[in-house]
Amino acid sequence: MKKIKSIGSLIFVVLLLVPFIRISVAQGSYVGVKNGDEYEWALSVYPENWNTYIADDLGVTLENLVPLGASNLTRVFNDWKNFAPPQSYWSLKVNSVDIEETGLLFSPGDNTTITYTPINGNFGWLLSLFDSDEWDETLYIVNDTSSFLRQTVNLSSSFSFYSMFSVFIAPTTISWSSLVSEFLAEMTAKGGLYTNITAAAQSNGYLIDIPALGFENNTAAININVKYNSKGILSYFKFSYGGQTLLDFKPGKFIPEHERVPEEYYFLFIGLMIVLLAEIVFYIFIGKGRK
Amino acid sequence: MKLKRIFAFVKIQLKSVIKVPTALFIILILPVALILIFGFAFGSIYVEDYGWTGQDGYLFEFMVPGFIAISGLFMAIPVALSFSEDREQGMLKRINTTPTTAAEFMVSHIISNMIMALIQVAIIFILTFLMGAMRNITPVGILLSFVIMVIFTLSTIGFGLITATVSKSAKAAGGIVWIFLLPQQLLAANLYPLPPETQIVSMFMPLNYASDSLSLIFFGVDLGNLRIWWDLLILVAFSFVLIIAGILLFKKYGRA
Repeated sequence: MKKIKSIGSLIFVVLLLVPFIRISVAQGSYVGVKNGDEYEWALSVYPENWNTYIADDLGVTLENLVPLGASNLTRVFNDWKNFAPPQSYWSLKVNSVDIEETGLLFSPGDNTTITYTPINGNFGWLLSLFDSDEWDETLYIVNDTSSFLRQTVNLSSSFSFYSMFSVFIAPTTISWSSLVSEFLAEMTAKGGLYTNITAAAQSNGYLIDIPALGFENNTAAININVKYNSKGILSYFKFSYGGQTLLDFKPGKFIPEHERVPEEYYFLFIGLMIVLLAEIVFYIFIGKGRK
Repeated sequence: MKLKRIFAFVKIQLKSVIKVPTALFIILILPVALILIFGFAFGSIYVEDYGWTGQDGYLFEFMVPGFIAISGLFMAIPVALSFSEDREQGMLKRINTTPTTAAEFMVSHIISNMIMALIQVAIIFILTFLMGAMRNITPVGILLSFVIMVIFTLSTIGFGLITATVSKSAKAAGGIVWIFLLPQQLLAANLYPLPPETQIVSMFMPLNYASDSLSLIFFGVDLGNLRIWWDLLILVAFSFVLIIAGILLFKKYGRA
């Protein structure tokens, strides 16, 4: 009887703990994000720096050279040119890290078998508290350097900013030097204008440079700087033309207007301090006068 | 400055509040009535995307921080009345003949009014909580709200002292004090959205910073938000400026 009671109590305690049990799935060692992670970035487009890029009509040139199409970059300009930077904030919340899969992830364009981990999350943008949008998004973290190069379509995503959203997360085990070597080998194999592209690995990303006239009608040099953090999350993107930053994308937290400290506060505080000081001087003056 | 004397005065002043129905009404009943009346009037109006908060809720919920701040503003009335009365009845002259210093008398007034403000805020908080109008505030937020109200009370004591200085009698003080209260109540309580031009005017009113910081706290903004602390900083600066101005003016012109 005593034994039955103890087993009964044990079952009862276990049942009480059931709601707190979390089932986690095995995930690849290349996955740096986890459920509940939240990231926020600020996108800054500098319209005053785009004149040469627009005049050179580089959009059409890149459209022919880069598979993902540089019209995307011009779209970024058109989307945000009427606002002051940073024009928008982008957020990603990781809801679940799924089980690793193997398959033709990039088919039909690329029929290579890829091993990857799907990440389900909420992705969205925030222009102001009243102008925002959020949607469900599935991102894929591929398991090695070569697959990541495939995922970026030979780094074409770097030329068309919105395409970077599909490669927000890199494998943590990535070798940036191998990525750059593979990329340059691909460019050499393509030949022609592609051989004018130079690239260099960074400790946490890569740099792409095309000299002036390297793509024939680009009167200025193109420089792209891409960095990922230790969790494999995109932490920096900068596209420059002729040394001028056309756009950058980096971590930044959106603060609604009402939660920002207005400039007037600083002036008012200084004013109040001056009045306070004057009062103290006046007080001392009165005190001396009375003595 | 002797603490014993200060606390003796604090005790007297607190007792006098209980004995004077006008003071008791202003400090306790008026804010409670305000909350109840507006609670029943606007408690059933549901609004979506309200103002800067972008939140949905009952209109009354969005007004609560403003009402709490306004209730602190009312503290200027008993201060103006008591100092004017003390002067009328020759209390201040009699104090001059005792070892009590003017500073001790002033500090006792400040402490007693702060205690009353704390009691007042506690009552309003309990009432609004019971009415279900405190959804997003955290316990730390409640504590911070009390700190804000205590500091804001300092500035209202300053207004009370300035009123007592310029008023010839307690009756006159009861009217004159509204010169300081009414514009703040209408323009700086954040009860309704204001045009940008009016917002500039309200920036020179301490109530604006009390109600603004309370609103941020009440609507769940992170307590580390710089705006809350800047509101508090400006409120501290305003309070010191006003209380010192009040003491200086009262010392020079108000004790006769």
